[in-house]
Amino acid sequence: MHLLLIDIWTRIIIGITAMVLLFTSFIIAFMYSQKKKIQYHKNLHALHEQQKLALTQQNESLEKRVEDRTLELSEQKEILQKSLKSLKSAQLQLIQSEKMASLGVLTAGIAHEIQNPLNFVNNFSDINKELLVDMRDEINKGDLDQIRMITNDIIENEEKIGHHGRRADAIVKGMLQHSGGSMGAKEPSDINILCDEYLRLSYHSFKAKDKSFNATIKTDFDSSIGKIEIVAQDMGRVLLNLFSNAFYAMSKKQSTYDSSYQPTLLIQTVKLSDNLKIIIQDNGVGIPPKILDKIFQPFFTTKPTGEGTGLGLSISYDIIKAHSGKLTVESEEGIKTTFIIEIPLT
Amino acid sequence: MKVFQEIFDWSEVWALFIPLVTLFLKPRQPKYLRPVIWYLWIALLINILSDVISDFPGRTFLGDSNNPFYNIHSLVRFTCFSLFFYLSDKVYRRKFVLLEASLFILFVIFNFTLVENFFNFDSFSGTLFIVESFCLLIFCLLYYLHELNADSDNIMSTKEFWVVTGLSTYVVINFFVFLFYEPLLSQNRHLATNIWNIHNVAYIFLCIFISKAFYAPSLN
Repeated sequence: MHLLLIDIWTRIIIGITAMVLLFTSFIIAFMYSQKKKIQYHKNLHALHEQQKLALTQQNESLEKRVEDRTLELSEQKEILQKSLKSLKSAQLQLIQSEKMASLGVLTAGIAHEIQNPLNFVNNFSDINKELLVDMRDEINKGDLDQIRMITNDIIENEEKIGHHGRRADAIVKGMLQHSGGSMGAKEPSDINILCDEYLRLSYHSFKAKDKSFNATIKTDFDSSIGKIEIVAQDMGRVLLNLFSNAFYAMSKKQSTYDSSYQPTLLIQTVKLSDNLKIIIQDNGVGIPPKILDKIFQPFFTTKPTGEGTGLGLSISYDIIKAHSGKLTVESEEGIKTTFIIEIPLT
Repeated sequence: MKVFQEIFDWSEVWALFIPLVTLFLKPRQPKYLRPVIWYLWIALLINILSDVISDFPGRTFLGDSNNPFYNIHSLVRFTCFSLFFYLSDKVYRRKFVLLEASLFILFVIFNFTLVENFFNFDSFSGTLFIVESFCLLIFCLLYYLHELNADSDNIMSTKEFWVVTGLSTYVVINFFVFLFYEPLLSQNRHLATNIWNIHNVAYIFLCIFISKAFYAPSLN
């Protein structure tokens, strides 16, 4: 039994209407969603373009900043390079000044040292001149025994002239070596002789400047040391610096103390199992503890302006280090200062 | 010829074996296809009973009308495929499925209370089938709309596509078959019987498409 009877035409209309409605709805929904999608893509594209533009602007700004910064850095680099170049040049000049200063210290000593052989040379030359005049007289007389005796005297005197001439020559060579260029080659040298030589040069140089200065010099050289491999002119420079400083410290103390003060310099060389020690001790003003760790720094000096370059101890430190050694200092302010050089024997 | 017609009449039963054999070969199927699998088994049972009644009317304990079984089949089909759409979650919002299912339930109550008799042994519940087809077609179109807007690259490779395509083919064809079947029964019974063959062909297509869905790779 049917409660709803619909004829076939009505069914056709219902069917077609239902399908048309359904598919129309489908098409409308599809078009609507596509439109929304297109709009979304448009917005997305616009946003993308905006972001792209912002990125491009940021990139440009960043590139500009990088460019500016690079330019700034290259300028700074150029300035720094110039500064470095000028610093290197100043350093070389200062090292040269230090050499010249130490040479100046040596000059009076050298003059004193050369004066002695020159005196000998001059004296024996005069004696030989007199002996030659005597010999000419004896030749005229024909006294052959006398001629032989005078000839022997002349020969002896010539040997002495030669000896002292060679000594002067050695002193001049030493001076030239001192003022020479960079570190030379290591060669076997007698450290005791080197110490003695530079001690005398230094002392005479100091005395030439300050005639009232007198010091007691005590040496205790270990004769078992023999010859060791060192760069003699560099080691001489170190010794000269340390001796000069010691004399300066003692002279300074002498100027402030009473007459009971007796400047005393002790130089000692000691051979240990595998190294050599050179101890230089003075009873000068000493070094205050607060500056003790700064004295090996370049350009550090306690001397008045124009008297020291502040490179002496720094260069000395470097020279000893280049010899694989150690340079240390101990000091009691107002009492004494001890510099100890340690150099390996091998 | 009669034998062929008989085989064709029983197509509602043997066509179901196509996806069921495929399922036997490919037992691992995604969760959202479970309602389809349930449908196949239930439909097999219902269709066997319907065809037995159709071939042996009044000679079994089942009586002489298979219309109640077709009604049950229609309700089961709608329920299972609604669940399938709900689980596959490709109809924009699950609320659409719930809303439409609710409306369909209201319609069923209204239909069998005021319009048709559920146990009508004399005729055919055409209105139920028409509305069911229309509702399932709405789900199918929602699915296509969703996939078109989602710009899916592999729309044809998905299992859902083949199920929905089979179902939409079936409901589009059968919407008109169900629409005209009832008046034709009274006016031209021979034509009505022939038109039912169209329904059977559509049903075979539905089963083949579901079978294809079981074969297709799961991209979800």
